[in-house]
Amino acid sequence: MDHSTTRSPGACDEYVDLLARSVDGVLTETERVRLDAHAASCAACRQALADQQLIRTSLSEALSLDASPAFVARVLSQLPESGRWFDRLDFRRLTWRLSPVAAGLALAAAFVVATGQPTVTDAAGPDSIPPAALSFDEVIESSDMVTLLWQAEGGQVEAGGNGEGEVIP
Amino acid sequence: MSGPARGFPPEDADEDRDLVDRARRGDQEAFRRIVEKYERRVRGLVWGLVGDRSDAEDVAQEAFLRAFRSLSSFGGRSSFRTWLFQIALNAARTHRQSRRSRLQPEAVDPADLERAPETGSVEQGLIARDRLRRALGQLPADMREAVLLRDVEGFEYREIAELLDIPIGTVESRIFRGRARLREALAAQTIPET
Ligand SMILES: [Zn+2]
Repeated sequence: MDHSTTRSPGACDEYVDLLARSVDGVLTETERVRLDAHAASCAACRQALADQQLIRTSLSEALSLDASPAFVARVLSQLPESGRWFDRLDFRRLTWRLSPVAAGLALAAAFVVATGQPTVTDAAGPDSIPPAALSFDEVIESSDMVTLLWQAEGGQVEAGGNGEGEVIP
Repeated sequence: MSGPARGFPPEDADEDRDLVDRARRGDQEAFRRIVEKYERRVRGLVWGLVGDRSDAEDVAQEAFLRAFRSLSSFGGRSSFRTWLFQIALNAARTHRQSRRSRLQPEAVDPADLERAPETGSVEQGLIARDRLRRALGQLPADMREAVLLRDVEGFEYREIAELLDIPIGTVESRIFRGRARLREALAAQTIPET
């Protein structure tokens, strides 16, 4: 990938790797000697070196943060309680959230019994799914909490590869 | 505690292995230790990547939660910290794709002004933080990632190559050009606006 440069316009291509690593202090002795010899006679590479140094020194300062116990607490508060996903299901809350659906199912059943055929009973229009047609799976899928729990358990939802076999979510 | 992040002591990998093993077995105290150990670095990296400070906290949190959910899939083929930072990179990329956010100029933190260089020219002194963060926003994402991993996080070149899945020569080139572009963007910012 070639991104044309910039302010170090004249820096010599063949020294780019040394110029970058030089300010990180990771040149071998041979590389150091080679770069020094070149920089002595190349103003553009000397300028590039100064630019590399300035940014390297300044950047970590610009993005340094204090430790944040509040952040740690926030992350930990999002973790599921220990135990398997089935144990983590809050059935009281689940029951509460699904109670309108259950009420609809009961009403629909009563209506079917009374009229002898399934009919759309609410005012949502002809395209709405009749409550009686909602399977248990669909009811379950409609609960975002269940979805979250499922994702929390599996963690594979957005998994991708990094080419090394390690799965990076 | 603040200051530049500079590399990782060698004993870190052993400690990480132990913490990961324990966290996998459901020891949340071990995971707490992992979060405490890496939160500054992950938050700093993500801040540089996404630009907005408050978004960065959310994205960093999402990265740790993804890591927690996926501990069972971590196979130890790379170091844990490499794996964790890859997750953070992915979370930041996802955020950027969804927001298509350019780095917004933030309101200048008064504390930054206090910490601005007191002496010396721009060439010699440290550059005011907000200007540098603005300049980061103008950097192509691939350069930004490479430069931040090196200059903020202190990863070795070979580690960055592994993290970004690119040859080490490309790492060197991206870091060189990224820094050069940052320097250019800063120089452009010093031109008085009319
Ligand atoms: Zn030169």
